[in-house]
Amino acid sequence: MKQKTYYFLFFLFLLPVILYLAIFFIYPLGLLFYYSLTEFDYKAKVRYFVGLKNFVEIFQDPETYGYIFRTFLYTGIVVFLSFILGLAYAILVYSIKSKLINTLLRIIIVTPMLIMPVAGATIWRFLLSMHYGWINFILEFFGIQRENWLLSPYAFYWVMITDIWGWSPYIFLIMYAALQQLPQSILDASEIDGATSTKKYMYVIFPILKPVMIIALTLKTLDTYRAFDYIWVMTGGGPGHSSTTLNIITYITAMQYLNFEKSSAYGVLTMLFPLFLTLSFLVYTRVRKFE
Amino acid sequence: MSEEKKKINRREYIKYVGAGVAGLAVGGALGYLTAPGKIEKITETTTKTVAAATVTQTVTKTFEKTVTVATSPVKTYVGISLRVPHMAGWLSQAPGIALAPEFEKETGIKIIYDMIAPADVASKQWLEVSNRTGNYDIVTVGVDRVHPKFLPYCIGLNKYIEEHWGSIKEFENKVFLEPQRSAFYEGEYRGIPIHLNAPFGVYRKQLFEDPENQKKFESTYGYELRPPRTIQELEDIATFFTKPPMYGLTGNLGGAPIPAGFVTFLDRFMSAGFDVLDKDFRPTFKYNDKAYEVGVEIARWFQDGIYKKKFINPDAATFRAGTMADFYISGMAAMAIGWCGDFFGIRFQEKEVVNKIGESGDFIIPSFRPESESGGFASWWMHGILDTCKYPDAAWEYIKWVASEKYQLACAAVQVPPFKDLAEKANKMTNPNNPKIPLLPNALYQAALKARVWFYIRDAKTNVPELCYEPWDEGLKLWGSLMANQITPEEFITKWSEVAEATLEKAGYYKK
Repeated sequence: MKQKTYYFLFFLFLLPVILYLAIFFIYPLGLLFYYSLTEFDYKAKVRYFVGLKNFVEIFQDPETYGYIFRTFLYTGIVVFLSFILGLAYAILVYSIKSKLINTLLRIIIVTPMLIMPVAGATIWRFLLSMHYGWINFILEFFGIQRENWLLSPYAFYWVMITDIWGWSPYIFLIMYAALQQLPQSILDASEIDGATSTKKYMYVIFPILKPVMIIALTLKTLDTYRAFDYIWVMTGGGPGHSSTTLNIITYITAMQYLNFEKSSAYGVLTMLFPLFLTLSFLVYTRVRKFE
Repeated sequence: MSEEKKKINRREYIKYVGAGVAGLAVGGALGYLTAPGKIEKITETTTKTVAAATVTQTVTKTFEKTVTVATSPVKTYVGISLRVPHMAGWLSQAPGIALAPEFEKETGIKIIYDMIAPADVASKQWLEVSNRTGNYDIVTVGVDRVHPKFLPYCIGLNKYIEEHWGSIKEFENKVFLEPQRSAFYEGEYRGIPIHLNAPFGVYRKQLFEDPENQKKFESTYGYELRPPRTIQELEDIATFFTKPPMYGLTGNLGGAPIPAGFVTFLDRFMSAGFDVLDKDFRPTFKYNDKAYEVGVEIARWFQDGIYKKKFINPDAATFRAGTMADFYISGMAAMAIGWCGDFFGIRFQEKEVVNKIGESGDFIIPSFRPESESGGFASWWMHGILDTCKYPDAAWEYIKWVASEKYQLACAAVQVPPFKDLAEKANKMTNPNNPKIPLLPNALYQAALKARVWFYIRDAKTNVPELCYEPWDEGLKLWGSLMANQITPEEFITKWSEVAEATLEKAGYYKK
């Protein structure tokens, strides 16, 4: 094949991907940056360049620091607990030999993930309702006074619990799949060497699973950082601003204030952390590859 | 090995960061080059205020200059289709929309509804309108915080109004004028109302008419048990019926994202005879001691009703209109206040509901200052014709049909027809489910008749749309905090005033 033909075919086959990336990623991203540097005068019907004004306004608002803090708090707590719970589920199911119980457990654990987040959040909203919700009935049974949980200072934490309930199965699936791929010979060898169950996990299984754990943690962190549906349906960012995260304020600014420019600035700000995390992950994987 | 790894680490990192920055730069440039709308430096901003007395005169002059409408006596619209965005699942409008095939048959105009989820109905339309896509011919927007932005994109309708109603004055006589003024922009009306609603109260007749309850109530409070006429009576009756889990009073007092609670507060504040802004565009909460006092009193009444006096169910602080109606229908509350209009005429009259909780009566929510009582607010939605619409005459035919007696009376059990004659007619008709009550309940009709203006209309003459966005949403948030008992009524009033004042100052309405 001639070199020219080779390059022609090379670019021809790449073209769909390039177009896909350009239309669905580069263009919207560019538009986001562009909007974040402009303002729209609805009376004059024109958009004009304002430089970093939207960003300056955002950082002049003391609430912004609260949104950032809550975003990281939410991500940190939810990722950590989901990971622990998901891993615990995986180990539990992995260690049960009965096929029937194993299957039943898998179904029970995975079910929350199959429920659409909006439906899941609505279910929890009702569960936490002061009058209809059984959570209050149970608490009352134990002598704890009924509480309007989604209007209390704990509202944000209840959303976290819902998120953990909904997405720890995700970690479970990844870790359970990884556990099933463990080389049996190594496990047998560790048993011959007299390793206890705990030691087997600490010194054999977990080190082998480390790359999978990092992938699971990275994916879960990116996903949780984008959390929106549970928060929006359960609290709408309230009461007050007490559960408003960067995603929620980005949405509110666009969809309720109809200020797409400032919302884009929040969008750019929101992108920074995932960008950093993704780059770090890429570097990490390259280093691993080199090793 | 470790030295080499370190070297590659840094290089790789720089490579990725470089690629990322280059990608964003290319994206930014692409966005800049392809984004809709021109970049233009605006150096001057003007704010127009139009006094009510001059409305008719200004209007006439303006349309003479700008509007041209085909006047052919026989018009055919066969083959024309109009794209109309609407709110999905909107109970108030559903009976009217169901009649659309009749309109299509009569005119030949095909109506393509784009049913949008309530949360997105404004933003989706705004994206289309501000980007000049031409995807919609008509807009459907609410007065709450949405439509001021849309008005510059809608054509003036004065010519059409004159053709249909005879004159602008005749139209103003027919329509509930106060909210209609919010559709006034640069000398012309840009929208025609399609929906009107106002808060009112409902109560369970069975409980109120029970002889034992009447006797007990009278011996406790010294007056007869009847639908409340004052705030004190409302509180007494609510307290009397409160025996948790049953509560005396419920309401849709939720904070963000649903505006109901904050709206209820503003409604009661306005019904006490106050405006949100004074004649110098300053928040009355801050610059009028009496307004501040009443504002705090109202906010405290609701907060204490939940947390101290406990005659309002705490869940009400997260209720939306539907959940409030469910709560009331489940028999857990003796009275409900708020957006009952969507439910009273149909759902509350259903056989199963009547069998369960008995018949429901309606009452006007009492004012906190009966001596200076004034109208509260009304929810008001309009249709406007976009300036990108290719067939404005056909679009007007549709709007005219929506404003017609047939359409509006079809919806009258669940909303107020926004024209006084039709509302009066609906109030004289009987509800098909319950002949004992009017199609349009009395309390709702009375509330609508009195309803003054929305809070951003400073004095029934001047729109201050800047209040519709951030101050409005901050109000929702602060109301949420108040209902969660996180802030005091004083903080609620003061903080909201600060946000409103800062916005108005920034927009150039006044200087401190």
